[in-house]
Amino acid sequence: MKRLIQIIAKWTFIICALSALLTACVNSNAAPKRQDRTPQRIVSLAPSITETLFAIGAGDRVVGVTLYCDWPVEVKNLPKVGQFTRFDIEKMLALRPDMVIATCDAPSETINHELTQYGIPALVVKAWTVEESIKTVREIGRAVGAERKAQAIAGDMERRLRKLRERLKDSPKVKTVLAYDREPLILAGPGTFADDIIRLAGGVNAAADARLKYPRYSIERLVLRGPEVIIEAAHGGGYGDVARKRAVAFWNGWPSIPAVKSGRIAVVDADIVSRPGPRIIEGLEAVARALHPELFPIEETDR
Amino acid sequence: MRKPLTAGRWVITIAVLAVLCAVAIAAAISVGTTPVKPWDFWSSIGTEEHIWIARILDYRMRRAILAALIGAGLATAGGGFQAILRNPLAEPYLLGVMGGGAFGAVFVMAFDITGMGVRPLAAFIGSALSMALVWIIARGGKSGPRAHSLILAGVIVNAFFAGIIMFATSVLGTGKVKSFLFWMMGDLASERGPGWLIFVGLYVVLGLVLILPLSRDYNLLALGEDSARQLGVEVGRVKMLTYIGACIITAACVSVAGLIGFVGLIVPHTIRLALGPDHRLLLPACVLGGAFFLLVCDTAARSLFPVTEIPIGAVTAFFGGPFFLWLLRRRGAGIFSERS
Repeated sequence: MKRLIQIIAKWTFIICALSALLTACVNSNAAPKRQDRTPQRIVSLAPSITETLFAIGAGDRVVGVTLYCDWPVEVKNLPKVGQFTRFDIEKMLALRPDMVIATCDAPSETINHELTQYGIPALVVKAWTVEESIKTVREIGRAVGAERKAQAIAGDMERRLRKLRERLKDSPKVKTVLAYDREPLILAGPGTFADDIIRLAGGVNAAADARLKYPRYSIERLVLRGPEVIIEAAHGGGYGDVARKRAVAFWNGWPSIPAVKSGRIAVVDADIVSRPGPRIIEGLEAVARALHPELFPIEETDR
Repeated sequence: MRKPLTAGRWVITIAVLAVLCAVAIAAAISVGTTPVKPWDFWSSIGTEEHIWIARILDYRMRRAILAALIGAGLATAGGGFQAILRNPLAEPYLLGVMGGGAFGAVFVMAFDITGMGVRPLAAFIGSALSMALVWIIARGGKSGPRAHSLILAGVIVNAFFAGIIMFATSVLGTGKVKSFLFWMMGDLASERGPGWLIFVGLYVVLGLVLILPLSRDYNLLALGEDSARQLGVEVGRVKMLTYIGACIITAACVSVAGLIGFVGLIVPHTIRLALGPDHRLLLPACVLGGAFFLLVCDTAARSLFPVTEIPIGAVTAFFGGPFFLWLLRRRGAGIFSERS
């Protein structure tokens, strides 16, 4: 019995070691090909990337996008290759891309590994703050050979960001929460993209005490935190007057929240405050306007 | 109640199943979310499309091989566990694998340890360790651990790790958790490098080599441990070899494909209902039947709804469950009574 166990243990070990070695060898063979010409068939794996590509004038070279890509409108007719975390590799291959751009929120490891095996260059971008999204615009521009236009857009974003900072320099920090959903109440927690936006827009995230990035926040706790402004990020274009009325009607159930008392409830388009693309500055300005209406006379546009 | 197993019947049954498997592989390579067909490979030679068609076929082929290997492995491991535990609910994930493997996967996710093959290796180590733990907890005398102790130890080890996993998923960021949940539901989409195919292939073959020759012993074991011992079966040895074989198969499968439920439970039962309880036919039939079942399920999972792949665990339960119930009603539950 004992000998048997020893023999089995030995063999299991040998086979383990062999298979590990084999795995390492076989996988290291697939070296990525160097990209020596500008990509002509680009697949974008995130809405923000799609928006960036179109903004920097590479839109006509985009051949595939995700189900969530909806801006600009032309995107709607492009083939879809996946959602956020799952991709249809077969569809992607059928589009014959020579460049795939993903965010690091996507299972980039898989994507990267998968695509390098097939010799398709992949670019993985990371944009978890507004500054990083500006950097990303440049990075994508370099990767797809649209450097000049990307530079111009990134420069414009930087200029608007600077202007906003200048304007908010002396204003007090406003206690704010940004809600993605009402029932259950999902707020933007610390370390999120929205958290950065609130900070840049001259606010302080009242939900920063949460442990999770996107916590299910209890309304009682929110009452205790006493936010002065509530911003709702509405999906699917529902950010008009009707949406605002509905939001106000819901929040009126908690009149002790300062934001409700003073009626400072704003509804913004979720797409412009949650996508780290070129429109993020618009989102940032919209939030800043909601936080500091006194600094933004109604007629003024920031262009 | 059934004609005894003859060589002719064995050969015919296995041949039929092998043909079914071959058809399933052909179907898996022909069907997908794009209209590419295998023969396009030759007709497109010389055109620019050729390399892309080759890549798509290569992708389908790898998945087909992976699905076949994992289906064959899990079904046989399930059959082996059912034989030594003499419990119809026995399946590969029962004995701690689920918890251990998932714990390994969660562990690397929580500490942000990334890199090629980190998750599969962590899951492999986790499930192997937890199965060893279950064996040690349940260990018995000369005839090996008692079936009840093994099952209870397995269930408890799973529950313990499930607690840790629930805690981890509630604390970690949503993006990470989502990819982990897909892994929990079975995921043939993430690890498909040729290295992994060899990895899984080696372990599955090794496990099969350990389990398949024990068929006669399993038949005697079905009479009860005492009777089997009187008839010359080394019960302890049989249990041990089966356990090791089934464990390495399961750990390897879990490491690359996550938790694909139902295959290890339903395929052996279905085959037992259809072909009778003789393990000399049952186990080889599990190898082929499991491969066939998972091939069909994976082909459905990746091509039914383009762009949004369905988790394969959902497909195996959705198609496998009703089919099994239908078979159970038709054949009657009597077939299980002789084993309890």
